[in-house]
Amino acid sequence: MATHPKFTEMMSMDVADSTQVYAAFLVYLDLLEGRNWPEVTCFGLGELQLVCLQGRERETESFQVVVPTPVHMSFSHERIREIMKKACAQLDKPDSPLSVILAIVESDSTIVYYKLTDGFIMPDPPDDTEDKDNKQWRKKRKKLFK
Amino acid sequence: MLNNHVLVRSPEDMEQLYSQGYFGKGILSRSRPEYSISDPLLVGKWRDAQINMPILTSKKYHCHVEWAKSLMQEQGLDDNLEDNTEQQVSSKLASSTEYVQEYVLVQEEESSFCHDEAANEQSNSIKKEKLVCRRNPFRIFEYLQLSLEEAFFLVYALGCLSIYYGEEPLTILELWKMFSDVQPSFRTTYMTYHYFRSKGWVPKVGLKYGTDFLLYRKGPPFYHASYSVMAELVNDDFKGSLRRPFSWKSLSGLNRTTTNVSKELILCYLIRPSDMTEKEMSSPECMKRIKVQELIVNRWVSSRERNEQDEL
Repeated sequence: MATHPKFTEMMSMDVADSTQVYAAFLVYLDLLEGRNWPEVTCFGLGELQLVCLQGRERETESFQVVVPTPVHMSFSHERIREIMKKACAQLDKPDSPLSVILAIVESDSTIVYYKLTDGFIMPDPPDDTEDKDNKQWRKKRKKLFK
Repeated sequence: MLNNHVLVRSPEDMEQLYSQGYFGKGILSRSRPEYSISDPLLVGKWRDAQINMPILTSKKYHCHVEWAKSLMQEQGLDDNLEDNTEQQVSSKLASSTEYVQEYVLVQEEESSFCHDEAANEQSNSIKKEKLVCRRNPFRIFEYLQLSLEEAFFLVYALGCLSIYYGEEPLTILELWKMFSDVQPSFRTTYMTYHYFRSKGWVPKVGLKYGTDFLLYRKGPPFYHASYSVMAELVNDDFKGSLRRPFSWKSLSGLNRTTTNVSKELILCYLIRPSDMTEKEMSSPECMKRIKVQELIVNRWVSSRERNEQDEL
């Protein structure tokens, strides 16, 4: 994997330290091979020292920016804002709200994705939480009467 | 060790490590290394044809051909690559490596023009999809990646792993220091890992649920994790710079999400004696003097408890 052309390409961009580049490479592979995104490319954010990815989940969707980060890297609000601004400048869509997907990579290669958007997004309607509470309550009752 | 991560590359070692203790994670899978180049959507689509070979989209195939081209360019095998067709590229790469050739099916679109006599301006193109057998231009080998805690445990507690940085195997003390540099709270998380592993639990990464570890009774394939663990290193009077200071709100939030996924929250306190020096902490032997206190957090709903009592 050290010789994978995409990895060497990311390293040669020389914008970030090797841990962040490796995290970016793992996210790249996960999106392309694990989640079968049809298109993923990489670009660098020099001042922020990050290798980022740009891609879309399906042919019909629009492009999104994915920011890979090792789990122990810390972010301030300003940094996140900077990243969102620069990333959306990359996408060249001045009218849509700022949004990035943060890809957090653990030391065992587990990746968790979070979508960060500037502004309000209507939440999905909740699953029926009443039912769930009842299920657990019914289980407890069964245990008591065994 | 590569880029501050521990990778296991040999398939036999990967199999042993995962099947005997569920150590590690395949870098292209959710747990056990089980990567297949096959696209699951396409496999479902062509299910009736009962094919045993991996199926790719044409886009992915082209992407892999590009990778193969770049690799060959880097290795200096690039004479007139731009002119070559994909078949020539993949057969060139095949002859230059010792890898066993794998064949894949690529779903390609074939436009056949249907000339309607009545409409001369229009040529109706019927897009037919067919599967074409091609050589796999770029074999992806999936590695097993070990978390730093798993790796250290295998070296220190079980003595069955050696970690190399370049050509040199690293000593235990070197690993202890190196891992602490990469992950600032490594010592705390490692001691927690070591503690629960020694009790027979399988601790895995807790990133998805916002904690340090998930504890599995037998292993990930058997049942969901029972506990979600947050670790803190404190001194004798339970004081210390906390990795994750909780307010009642944040504790409540974490507890709620933990309960929603049918797990229980454990706060694990590693208590070190106040007289422990930094020098002592620079070796894993410091664990001998550290005590562990576990705390399980459960939400208590008074009305429910009362109902249960009544029915008894």
